[in-house]
This record gives sequence, C-alpha cells and structure tokens, in this order.
Amino acid sequence: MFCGCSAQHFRQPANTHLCPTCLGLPGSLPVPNQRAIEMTVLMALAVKAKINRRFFFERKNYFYPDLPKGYQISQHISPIGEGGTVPVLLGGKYVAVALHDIHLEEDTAKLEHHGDEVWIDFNRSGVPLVEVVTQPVLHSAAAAKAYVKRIQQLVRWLRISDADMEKGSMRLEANISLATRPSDGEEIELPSYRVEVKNLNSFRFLEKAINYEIERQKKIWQNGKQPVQETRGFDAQQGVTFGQRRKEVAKDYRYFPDPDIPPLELTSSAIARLRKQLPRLPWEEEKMWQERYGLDWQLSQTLVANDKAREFWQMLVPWIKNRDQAQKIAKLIVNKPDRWQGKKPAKFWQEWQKGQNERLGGAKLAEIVSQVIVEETKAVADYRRGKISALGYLVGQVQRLARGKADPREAQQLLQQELTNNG
Amino acid sequence: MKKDGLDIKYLAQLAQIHLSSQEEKQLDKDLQNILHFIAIIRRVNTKEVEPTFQVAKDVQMSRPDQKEKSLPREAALQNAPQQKNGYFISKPIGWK
Ligand SMILES: [Zn+2]
Repeated sequence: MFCGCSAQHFRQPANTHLCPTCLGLPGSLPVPNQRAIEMTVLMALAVKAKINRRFFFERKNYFYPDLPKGYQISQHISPIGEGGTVPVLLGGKYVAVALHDIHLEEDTAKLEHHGDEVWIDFNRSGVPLVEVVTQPVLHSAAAAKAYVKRIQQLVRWLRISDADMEKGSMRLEANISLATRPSDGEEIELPSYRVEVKNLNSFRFLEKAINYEIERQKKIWQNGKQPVQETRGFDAQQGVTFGQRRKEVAKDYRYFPDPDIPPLELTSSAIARLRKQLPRLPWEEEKMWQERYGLDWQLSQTLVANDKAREFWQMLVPWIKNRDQAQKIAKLIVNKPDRWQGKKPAKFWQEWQKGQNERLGGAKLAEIVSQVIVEETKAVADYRRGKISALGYLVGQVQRLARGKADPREAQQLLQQELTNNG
Repeated sequence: MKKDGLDIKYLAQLAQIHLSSQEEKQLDKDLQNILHFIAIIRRVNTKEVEPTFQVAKDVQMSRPDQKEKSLPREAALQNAPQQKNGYFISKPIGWK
C-alpha cells in the first residue's frame, strides 16, 4: 500500500516481501499506491457512497505483534467513501444495506502461535486493504451472510481482488450485540457494547459465529448481566467463539493524521474517469433480465452470480426471441449445468431448439396422460382426496413415459382437466 | 480512572508496557505537565485559523502500482531480537 513490495502473500516464503517502509524502520517514508486509491474510489462509486475528495491517512495506534510500527496506517475521520448502500436479496426482495464507510488501510502481519512463541510473517503487512463497514442494520446471521456474499461478488465484478477467502484476500469481521426488540414503529435502541468476532475466513463460519454469539449473549442477559465489549476469535473445529482481548474503544486508538503522508485530493476529472470505468453492476444486470424476460429475482441473481453461467447465457441472448424461451433457457442454465457445460453456445442452441420442436403435445401427450391416470390409481385417488402434491408426481410420470419431452405446463393442464372431468 | 481523565495504568496497558510504581508516579507527573501545557495553548483564540496537521499541504504524493525489489530475507531479519525458520519471533501479547 505504501511501498513497492509485492502484494502476493499467499504461500510465499515468510518475510520475503519486505522493505524498510513496510517493516516500519526509522527513516522510511510511506507513499500511497495510486491504484489502490482508485480501486477504493471505484468501490465507493459502485455503492453510491459520498466520495471525500480531500482525504488523508491516520495512524491507528495499538500494540500487537502484527504491527511492526506500533500503529496501522488507516483512515478514520476522512474515509474515501462515506455512506452508500448495497442492494441485497433477502427473503425474496431487495434490501438496501446501509454502509457506514469504505476506507483504505494497510493489512497487518500474519501470526502463528506456537506454544509460548508468536511467529510473525510480515509479507501481508502493508498490502492494501479496503474495509467496508456497514451501519448496524443487519439483524440475522442469514442477512449478514447474504450481504458479505454480495460484497465478494462486487469486489470480483470490479476486478479489485479475487476476494478468495482461502488465500486471505477477503476476511470477515462481525460486530454483534443484542438489543431489546422494539415495539412496532419504534427504532432499535443500540446497546452500549459490541462483541467483535475477527478473522472469519468463510461464509459458513460467519453464520456459525453470529448464531453462537446470539445464544451466548442471550444467556448473559438472561442472567441479568451485560456482555463485555471485547474481541473474540472463532474456533472452527468446536464451532465456538472465545475471548481474545478487551476491545479498545475508538479513543484508545489515539488516531491522528499521519504526518508522513500529505493529504490527498481527488480531482473531479479523476472521479469522472473512474465513474466511466464502472460497469453495469450485478444488481442492475439482475434487474435487466427480470424486466426484459420476466425472470424471477432468485433466478436472475443465480444466473448473474455464476460467471460461467452468466457468460454462456449472454452468448445465447442474441438468439432468444421471447420471454418463454428466455425463462426456459435461464432455468436450464442454472439448474442443469451438465446440459451446457463444455458446449459451444451455437451448438447448444441448435440442439435445444430441435429438442423444443420435438416436444410432445396434442394427441400423443393426451394418450400418455390417460395411460398415467389408469396406471397410477393411488396417486390419482390421493389427488382427488385433495392431496395437491400428488399432481407433481403424476406430471413426473407423464414426463417419464414421454422421455422428458412433454411440455410440463401442458402436461399439468391436461392432467388437471382429465382428473376433474372424469372424477 | 481519576477525575482529571488520566489513567496511567490503563495507558500502560494500551501500550503493553510494565511500569513500576516509581515510574507510574513520574509519568503521571510528566503527563499532567503536558496536559497543563496544552490547556494553556487551548486558551489561544484560533477561531479564524485552519487546523494545521500537515505542512506539506500542496504536495500530492502517490506511487504508481509498480513492484519494486524487496530486501533479502536475511537483511529483513538481521535486527530481529529473535528469529526462527525465517520468522520473527515474539512473546504473545494480550489483554489480561
Ligand atoms: Zn515494503
């Protein structure tokens, strides 16, 4: 971030990407990386955050072996981006998750604990790190998970990072506190503490850690006490969190502007240039398919989230003539990857169309439907007794006899007709 | 926490240093002096003055995204008080 050492730190020999600056040696001078600043602005623009055109870096002071200088160069009162929202699909609708800020800082060293020793690899320290901080607006582990997945998608979409959690290029931190459920229309009153669970390296661990904390804190409240403000780690094997250190409050960090780094200014032309680089965003593309072809949100989200599926779909789009075709193709791409993976789009399209033309309908289909009704006496009786789910089974049987070539909607209509008419 | 807002023990804990009671007393005195000094400075009317935390105001400094040569590992580690297998070694540090 502030020196020219390689930012590759995954599976590199320890302490081989170091220089006087990232080692914090006296007399060295940190100089911010232009590209890292631009990437942060890009991220901020994507979520419609307010860009602080004049910003500076600050020293966040705390003493821990992962910092060679005794402070981390970060941003506090002038983050590059302030506010903004991230649209996340929750329970079938879009929710705008409000952000607090997006700031740029240097990453810290990787520590390994061996008995009474801490082994320090400083390769990662000094690598640019963008922190995206939400407002306290997420109220469940599931919501938090949906949100961080969206952030990962966006970071990859904008080619900021591979956001690979196994390589440590994306890490999650959850701040959890329990509040009394407000009565309708009232705002939640935030409790005066928060517990931070640090260094979560998978979506599943995030979900587990949050759910664990909710239960742990609930018990403390039920015993008439308030949980203490602290930083906790997550033990993936046991599925539990454990206390690490008392969490500092903001003033303990004694933030102050880094005197070695003059304030920076983003010109309007620089911001305009970055704005132009902004591609159509994932949620915009989801909406586009929804509006153009009537795909449901879930389907369009899955389609857009999967790089290979999305690419294949985009190559088919010019040939798609109507909503019906689009919906069938989208569903097929999402649900049956083996039907298209490794195929050329043109060839796939040809085969698919041929398959469509061979669809069974009319008299042939009616014949199969009658046969199924005669043979499946139990399911037919179930359906007539009001067990609606039996219909799905019957459609499946028609499909089996039709070798998958029946139009499911038509088959269902025919079945319903026959079953009500000849009851 | 004392009523004047200075808690030497807490500050020492934040800095992860151990202080003898003699040192605590001395530091308390020193820090009180500094606070007193600052209190005097704060009486100056600075209403019309922009805060100056940076004198190199009109300098725009940033680096291109280019990789430069890093130090050989031996050089990076040469001043480490303790090292092993290419790692810096430290004692665990934590909050009591
Ligand atoms: Zn370096």
